[in-house]
Amino acid sequence: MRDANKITRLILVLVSIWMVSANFVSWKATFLASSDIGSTMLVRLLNGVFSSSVLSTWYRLEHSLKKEDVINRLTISKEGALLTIPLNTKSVLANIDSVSEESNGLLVSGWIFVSSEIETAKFVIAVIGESIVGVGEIGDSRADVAAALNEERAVLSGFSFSIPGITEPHKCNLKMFALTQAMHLYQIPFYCEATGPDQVK
Amino acid sequence: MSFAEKKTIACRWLRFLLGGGINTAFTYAIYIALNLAMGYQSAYLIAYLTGVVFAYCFNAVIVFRTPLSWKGFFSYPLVYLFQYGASAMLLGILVNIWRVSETLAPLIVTVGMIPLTYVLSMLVLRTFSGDDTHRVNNKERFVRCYQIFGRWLNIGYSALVGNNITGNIFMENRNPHLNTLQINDDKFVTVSDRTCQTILAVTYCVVVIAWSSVINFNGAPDESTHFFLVEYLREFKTMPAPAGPLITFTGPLSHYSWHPGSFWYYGLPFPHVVGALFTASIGSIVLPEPFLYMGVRAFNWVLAALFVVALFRIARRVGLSQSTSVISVIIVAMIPQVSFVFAYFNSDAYGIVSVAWALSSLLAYCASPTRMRSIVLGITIGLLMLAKLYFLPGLVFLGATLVIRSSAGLIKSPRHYLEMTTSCLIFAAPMFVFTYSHFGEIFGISGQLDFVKMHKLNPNALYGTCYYLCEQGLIVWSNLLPWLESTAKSYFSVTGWMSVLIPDNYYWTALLLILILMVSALLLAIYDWQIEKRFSCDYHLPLIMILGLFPSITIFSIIASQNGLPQAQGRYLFVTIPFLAYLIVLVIKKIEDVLNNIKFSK
Repeated sequence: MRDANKITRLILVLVSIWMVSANFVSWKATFLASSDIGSTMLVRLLNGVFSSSVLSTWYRLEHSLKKEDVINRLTISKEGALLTIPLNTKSVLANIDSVSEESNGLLVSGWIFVSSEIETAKFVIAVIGESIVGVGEIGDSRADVAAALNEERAVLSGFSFSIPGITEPHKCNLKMFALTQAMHLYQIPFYCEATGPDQVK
Repeated sequence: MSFAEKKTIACRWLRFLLGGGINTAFTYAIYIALNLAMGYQSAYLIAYLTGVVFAYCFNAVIVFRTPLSWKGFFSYPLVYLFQYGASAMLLGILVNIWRVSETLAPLIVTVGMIPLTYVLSMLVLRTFSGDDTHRVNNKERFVRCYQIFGRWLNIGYSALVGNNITGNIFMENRNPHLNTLQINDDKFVTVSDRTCQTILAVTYCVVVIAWSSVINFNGAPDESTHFFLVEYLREFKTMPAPAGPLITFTGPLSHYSWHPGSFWYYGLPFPHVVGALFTASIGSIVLPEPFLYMGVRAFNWVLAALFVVALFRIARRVGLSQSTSVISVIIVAMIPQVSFVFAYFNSDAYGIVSVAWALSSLLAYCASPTRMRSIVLGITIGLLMLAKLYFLPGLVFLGATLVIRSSAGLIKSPRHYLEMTTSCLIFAAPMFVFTYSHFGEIFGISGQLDFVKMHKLNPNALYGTCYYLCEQGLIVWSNLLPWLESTAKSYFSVTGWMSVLIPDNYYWTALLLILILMVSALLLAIYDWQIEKRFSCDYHLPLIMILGLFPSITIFSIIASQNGLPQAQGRYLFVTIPFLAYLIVLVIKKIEDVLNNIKFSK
């Protein structure tokens, strides 16, 4: 009898464990699907805690500029200091989803994910020739990217920003770069299809 | 507390503070000395560890006077681990949310952590000291903490219920004549039942808050619609017109704007709004500006705690053991959709809880039909009547049970019905009268029809969907089957704006489990009938009504959805959730009884 009761209880425990796991899966799906994940209370609290803790200070020190960087990349002149940021040749997972024309320029949107656990891409930089024509912040919610890459860290990998004063015919001259918090620069592959013969060279 | 005890505690506190001061000076001296010979990080590490050892010895021997032990020594760093986590979190909240200066915040944290460190040190040292006297005291201290917390949660309710199994702690020394059973002499066992309720309530509150923390304002169905009345009443202290605000109105809690003509649920009782006004008032004192809307949601968190307590009472009333009751509560409360409903502001959470409490009170009354329990049942029925229309089928279950049990002679006091009705009216009538005087109706039918019309006339919603008696035929299966699938899924887990789904295997498993439950319930009913040769009011009656409730609510829901509602929603079936819990515990109890019988006959 006691064994039978034990079996009943064991089955109930298994069902309850399964239910707890279903609850967690659903909670996670709800979280990742938030329209503005950055403004959820959880993210804001975690940001608050993390950005003020000793751990965060250690993390920032550990994963920002190194002594060798200062020696090799920094030059100081009368005008001020100049930090050289070499282009990192490692490939990154990224995509420019669309470059569309808007009232005063182009609207670029896409996503980028740097697989290194210690680096986070912060900015997307649009360049024509040697001029920076637009800068966008990375951090839009992209649950689809996180799901496709099977990487939860990629959930805030999206970006969308305007490049004012650049018109459709110039879009294939654009080059896109990503700048990380550790001051590393990556080129984002951008395959542009020319829309007409009047593409400006 | 006597003067001598107060003096002892004060002296202990002074010794603790003195120890902290000495420890700081001691570790600093070590750090300075070591730093002469090694790097600052290594010096700090050694000094810090020495400080922990010093703190353990000083607090154990001088402050709390407990014996030294290896177990205590190795457990003591837990205090620091916990203290670090709590300080980091408090520091983050102070700096980033409450905007306290980064220079001042660590000082506040340091001072704030002193009592916590004191309590943690006392608990760890006394628990792991190897001194049994202190261990017992700690256990009692924990129990007392739970008792105090439990009193806050169950305030007044258990006293009214007079539940001899679960609520007797409140009744002892007050109205012992209300209890039919003697209070258990084993104090720990008696308290333990309420401890279970408290732990369940607190844990479920945490789960629901975790859910709330990932849902932005209006990140779930109709939250802004329900918020409108809370915000409007807070701001203008009067009821809005059925057509919404006369000019655009921005809520101070949610910062959401409602325009003239905005839809809101008018003409129906609003108990959840009254509750939310109360929690929002407290929330506006303690919550930072961006999260003021959480103050309104906090009412649903309280309801969540009450919900699990009600489920536990149902399980215990049916006769399950404490641990089995807890497990059955977990199974129902952790249904993702149930947690989701308690996580944002809506009226459904109130509906589910009122059904659960009414059911719990009904079982208490049926077990022992005393006058007090009839009054409590009347109150819970009154509260249930204030819930939204689609929760009212719960009343059919309650009414049918009372009528059939009375006919069977199981309830013999007609006077109770008068008391029940009176208490029900006292709780329900004022809000009905108020609502009727403002809107000329009490069930919000006009608002509901407006809501349906809104979709019926909407070309984007294809002017509603036809499910039966349509041009295509008597029943349009191509429309109905997706509706049923969507309803079944959203009964289990479809969150966000009814758009966030989880992998299909979860839905299939849930469906399988509920089918197993229902088939088991039926098989056990047949088995019971064959053995007992009689209709059981404790098993067959609730089983028939519960199993009948699911299809009847589904049919009503289809009728309501015809050419109207934009999508199927499991929420219209939520009245069944407490009954699902009841069904689970009935089946478990019956299985236990059957196994007992088999064993006995062998």
